[in-house]
Amino acid sequence: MSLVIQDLSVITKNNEKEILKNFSLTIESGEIHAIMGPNGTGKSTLSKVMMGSSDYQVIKGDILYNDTSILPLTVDERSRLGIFLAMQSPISIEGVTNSEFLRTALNARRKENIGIYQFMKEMETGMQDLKMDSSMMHRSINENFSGGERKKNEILQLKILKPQFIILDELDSGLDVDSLKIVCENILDYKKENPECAILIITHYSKILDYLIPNYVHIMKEGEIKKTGSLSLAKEIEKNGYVLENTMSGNTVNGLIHDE
Amino acid sequence: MNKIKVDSKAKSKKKLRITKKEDIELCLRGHDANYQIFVEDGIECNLWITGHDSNLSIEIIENKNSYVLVSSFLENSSSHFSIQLDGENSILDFSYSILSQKESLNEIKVFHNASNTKSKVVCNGLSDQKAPITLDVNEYIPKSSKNCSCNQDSKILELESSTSEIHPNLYIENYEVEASHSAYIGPFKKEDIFYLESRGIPEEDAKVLLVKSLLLGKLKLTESQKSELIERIEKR
Repeated sequence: MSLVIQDLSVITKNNEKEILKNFSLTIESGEIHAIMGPNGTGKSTLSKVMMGSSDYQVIKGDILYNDTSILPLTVDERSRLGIFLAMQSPISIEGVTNSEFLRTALNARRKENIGIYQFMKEMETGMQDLKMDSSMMHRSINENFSGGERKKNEILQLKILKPQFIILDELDSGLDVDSLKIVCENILDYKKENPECAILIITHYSKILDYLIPNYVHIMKEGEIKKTGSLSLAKEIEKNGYVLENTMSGNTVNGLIHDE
Repeated sequence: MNKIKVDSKAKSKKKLRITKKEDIELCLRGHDANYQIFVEDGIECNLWITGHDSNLSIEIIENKNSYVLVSSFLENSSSHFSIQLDGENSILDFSYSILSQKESLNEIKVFHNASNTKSKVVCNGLSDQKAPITLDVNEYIPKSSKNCSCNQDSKILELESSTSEIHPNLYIENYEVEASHSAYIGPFKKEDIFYLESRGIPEEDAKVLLVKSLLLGKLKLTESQKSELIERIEKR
């Protein structure tokens, strides 16, 4: 797996405001990257653009997944290619049960439909791992779920759909310390079983990075990467805020990635 | 189950008196139907209505401590419901779905004529081929009825832009009441489609899932009823 974002500039569809500016990032097989940055800097936009949201328009650059551009692909095609976005605020959809939804999603990426017994078994195992109430299987998608339950449900979907590239958009928001630990353990287990899988973490806090230790931490501001470093950079951010002075560890970059 | 078939000659109002717990199935196949249903004290009644190309008129009169569950799925039809909550502590749980390719007028009136009565009214419509659907949902609570509860949610999804309308009306004269209403008319929500697509479900399949959830999600169905309706929706 490899994902290369080349010189990407993105505007919103409606007001043509430029959100990403010449943004570049390379993620190789098995790597974990984290992006941190102040509110409104384009982190979530980046995740939605990678997934193919129609709210944004790419005006320059490209996104290559395994050396092939994914820009012409629809959202569902990108998903079936192996890209998974765990959303910051997963919506609820009344009337569509979790099991019906996930079975439809799973069958969309298989040649033959999965048997009901095998599917239920996988769901039950996943829910037990995530310490979710098994009744949630038959409830509408995220309907009356707490913030933490919604995030766990995102990870359940990940475990069932088995992607190769995972974007975690503020997974830690709405999760208590115990739930964050459970969720991260499940992601690590998944990564152990799928060592080639790469992860991009978007977060405001370094706590999640204590569990999912990143190879690279990037600081994003005004739609581009301003600095790249290791976990220690995230710790400095937590301590000092987003002051991009030379005193910080890591290298200042112009949209390109350099490790320390 | 007491299954009622409607024949084409049934023009006059038919009266039913429910004296014990009953499940009633009303099937309309291109016919008009006009019913008056009395539900006696403390009786539970499940009324299941399916049909197409019909005009339906139903009056339900609930007495003390009665409970009526209405689950209705109609295609290309119009309807008029009048529910009289005449007895204290009577409860109405009303779920109505309409799928239409032609003009459809639907009026639901709920009268809280006694204290401590409760109603929950959910109406969902799918407008196909620009068919205008009207959902006219009126609930009345007079001054003499205390501690009543009335909640209504109405939604019309349009496959193409239409002149559909929802009139959610709460006529309340008493202060000791719990009431709420919501209404939505429009296309599929972009965020719903994006969420489903982001899990690999193609757009058309995502829309089918959402239509099924809209029309069947609130109906209390047996598995066989559900399968039959899913088949009908998918055929459409």
